Amino acid sequence: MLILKDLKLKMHLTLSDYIVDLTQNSIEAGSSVVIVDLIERADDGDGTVKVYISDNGAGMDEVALARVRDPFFTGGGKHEKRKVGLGVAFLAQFIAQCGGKWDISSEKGVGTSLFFEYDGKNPDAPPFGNLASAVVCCMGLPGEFELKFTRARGDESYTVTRSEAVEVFGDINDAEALITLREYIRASEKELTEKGSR
Amino acid sequence: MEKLTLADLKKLRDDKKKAIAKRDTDGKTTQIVVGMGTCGIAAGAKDAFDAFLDEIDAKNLSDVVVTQTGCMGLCHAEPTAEVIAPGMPVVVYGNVKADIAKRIVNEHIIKHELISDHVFDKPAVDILK
Repeated sequence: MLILKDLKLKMHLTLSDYIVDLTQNSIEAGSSVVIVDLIERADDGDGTVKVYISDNGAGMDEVALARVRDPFFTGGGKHEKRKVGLGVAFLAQFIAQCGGKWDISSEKGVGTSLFFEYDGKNPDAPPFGNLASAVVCCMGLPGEFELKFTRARGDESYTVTRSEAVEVFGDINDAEALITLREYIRASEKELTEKGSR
Repeated sequence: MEKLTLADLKKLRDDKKKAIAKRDTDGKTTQIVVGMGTCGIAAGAKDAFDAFLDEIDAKNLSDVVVTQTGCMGLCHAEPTAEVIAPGMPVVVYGNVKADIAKRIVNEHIIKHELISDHVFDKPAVDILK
């Protein structure tokens, strides 16, 4: 059996990790609005997991888009001398590993949309991981932006928006705010998995 | 299920506040910056982030801000966390697994002691401006 804690792999382990990484890509592209949807079809019993991440950031031209799967390509200007960008390459690998599909579309100056889906029951599919902390991580990323996270399972769903959290807490990076938000998402997630599964 | 409402969040926060006896941190803010690049996430930065929140919660610390940054050029030492605490030098810690995150809160932030074998003094040279 796969013992997660014994793995020393330097690749993302859980779905939550991918969501943080890819959402961060959107925010680093200068987006003012990022929409993340995580939809699990628990109702029809096939356990399909679908994730949509779309933003209105810098976008990519055709040349950059064609190279986005290349682990030695990065669009980021953060590290001038570095030529590595593993986020999307990791995604492509994980989707190939569990027989899912993914796609990315982008337009320079307009934004980028990314989609992936896989069978959650596939033995090679990654575990969900700690979703509450992943969403809180995304919410707490630096910058001024709106992030709308929607999570659905079967007929049940909940949505968390960053603007609402900022309105309530003021500084979202205050540890107390992060802890409370995490608690809220945990509670929503618990309710969702209990109600949404039958 | 009902959508997240302001009232829900506010109530949660108020309940929380009642439960917390504020600890004296001289009214100064402590900042923890967790490296959350691809390298950080792959190495378990999210676990460290979670452990920081858990321990801050457990020790009822107030005036702590937890932020995130991308790759600090210390991919070999991920997960990394920069800690800016009053009365302490600014330190970048490396290999911050959950247990080290816990120690950072207890030793660095509360007791003002460095965790010497995890100290990296600053981000890599090509990242520094």
